[in-house]
Amino acid sequence: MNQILQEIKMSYRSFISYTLGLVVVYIVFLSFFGSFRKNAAMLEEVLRNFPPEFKAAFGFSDVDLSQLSGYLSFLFGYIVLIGAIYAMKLGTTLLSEEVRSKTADFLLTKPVTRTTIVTGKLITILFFIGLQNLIFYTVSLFSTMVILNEDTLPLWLFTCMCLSILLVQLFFVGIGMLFAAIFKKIKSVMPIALGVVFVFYILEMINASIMDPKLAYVTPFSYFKGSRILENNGLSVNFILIDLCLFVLFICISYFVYNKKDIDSV
Amino acid sequence: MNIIKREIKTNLKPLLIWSGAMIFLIYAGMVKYSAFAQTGEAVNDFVDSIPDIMKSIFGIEADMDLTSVTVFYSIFFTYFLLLATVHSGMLGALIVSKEERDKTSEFLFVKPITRRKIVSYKIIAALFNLLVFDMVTFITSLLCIQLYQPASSVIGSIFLVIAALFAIQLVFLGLGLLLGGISKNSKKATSLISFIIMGTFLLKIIISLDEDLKSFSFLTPFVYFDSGEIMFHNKIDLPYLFLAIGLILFCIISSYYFYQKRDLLD
Repeated sequence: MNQILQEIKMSYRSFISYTLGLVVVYIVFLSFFGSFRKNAAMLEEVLRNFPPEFKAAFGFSDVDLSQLSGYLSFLFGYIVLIGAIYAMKLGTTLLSEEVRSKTADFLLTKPVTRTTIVTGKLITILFFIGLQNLIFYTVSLFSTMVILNEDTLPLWLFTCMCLSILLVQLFFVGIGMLFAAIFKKIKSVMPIALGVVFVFYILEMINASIMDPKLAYVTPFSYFKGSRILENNGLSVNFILIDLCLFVLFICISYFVYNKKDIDSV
Repeated sequence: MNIIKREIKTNLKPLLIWSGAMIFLIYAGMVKYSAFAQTGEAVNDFVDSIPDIMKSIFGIEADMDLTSVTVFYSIFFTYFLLLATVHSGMLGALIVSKEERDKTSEFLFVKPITRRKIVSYKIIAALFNLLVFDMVTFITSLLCIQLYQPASSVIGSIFLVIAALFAIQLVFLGLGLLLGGISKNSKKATSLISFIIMGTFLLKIIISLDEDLKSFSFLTPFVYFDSGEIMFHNKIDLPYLFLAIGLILFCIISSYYFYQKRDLLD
């Protein structure tokens, strides 16, 4: 418990910054919906007349950006990106912090197993991620209703999209902890965090232009894409299972590697 | 002189990894093209009927022939740019502040060489890194284009686009250097440059959403050079070029000033 409190104390600042960032970005994008609506309505007219193959070839599928649900799916793409960066940063930082700040011999000589230590860190991470999602969900829901005066907010779709943030974050927490466990010493977290997240993100952006069903399995941003949520009217159970399995797999490997690892104290 | 050699040696592994990531992304993008090429001319008719605002979001120009690889490449260019800016931003932020992070500043800065010279040599090493990275991008792009059409016809335009990439990278390198000079530790520097990269990227998206925001374009280096314009019309926006050059010079000169003034904590 002590360890968890200490970890929270060490990381709460970046938690506040990123959660604030998420909310601000969401509100800013939301405020542009009005002006965007007019232009997008024109596009919808045109798209209505085209056969589905062409739409798919272009990555348009059935996303109607002039409607709130379509626009939300577009904007959540960027929200998920920011969330993913935070998750990766959190996962990588927490596990590699001891080596970086030379406190490894303090923590690891305490009469607790390494497993307990990693579990403590994992609980902290899940606490922050959970809290961030909770705050974001409530604040964004509230601000959507206030800013747009919409009574027609598709609550189920909105909830699914917010859940997608959580699921993608879990993936990157797993990868982050895996990296931190494998690498002997991570001197600087941000280059790795940004680099990895952006590579996955760019893969998804490339895939958006060419809908290759196989490539969708490579990058977590594709698992819970906004357009997919709209198509299936919900999250694809298949992808949820894959995502959670990968998360559990990464965490287990991290536990195993961290237990066996030679950790430098100086 | 020795400093340059040492910097390059330490940066060799990260440079290889970043270049590898770039090669992977370019390959992924261009390989996907083969699937897209099969949809044929019909795609062009479809694209012609899209309202301009949607075209601008996806980076498509008025009379583009989407079955051509080069057009595809110019659309993907934004994505490659994203990775390149992260690389150069981090490079700039870390190249001097990493001495403090690694506790080697006491060793380096007591040597009989002015701080200015040290910073200059580090900047030269950083430029070398960027040049190698861009060279790899250039060659990989040409090779991937070669798969579909004779690259010799487009060497000129690809070269210009990579030059634009280099310019934007320099802007972020300068910003990174400036932030590294101002911030007390490397963690703050990398966080700030990440914030700026994300912020300018999101600003680019927002600007493409709302035409009225064109006046804010000067705030985001992602918009300074348009790959479509450069590749197909050989046109560069001179005002933006001067803005970029001015920004780079300002950042580098200010970074000298700040590093000179700063107390280097070890």
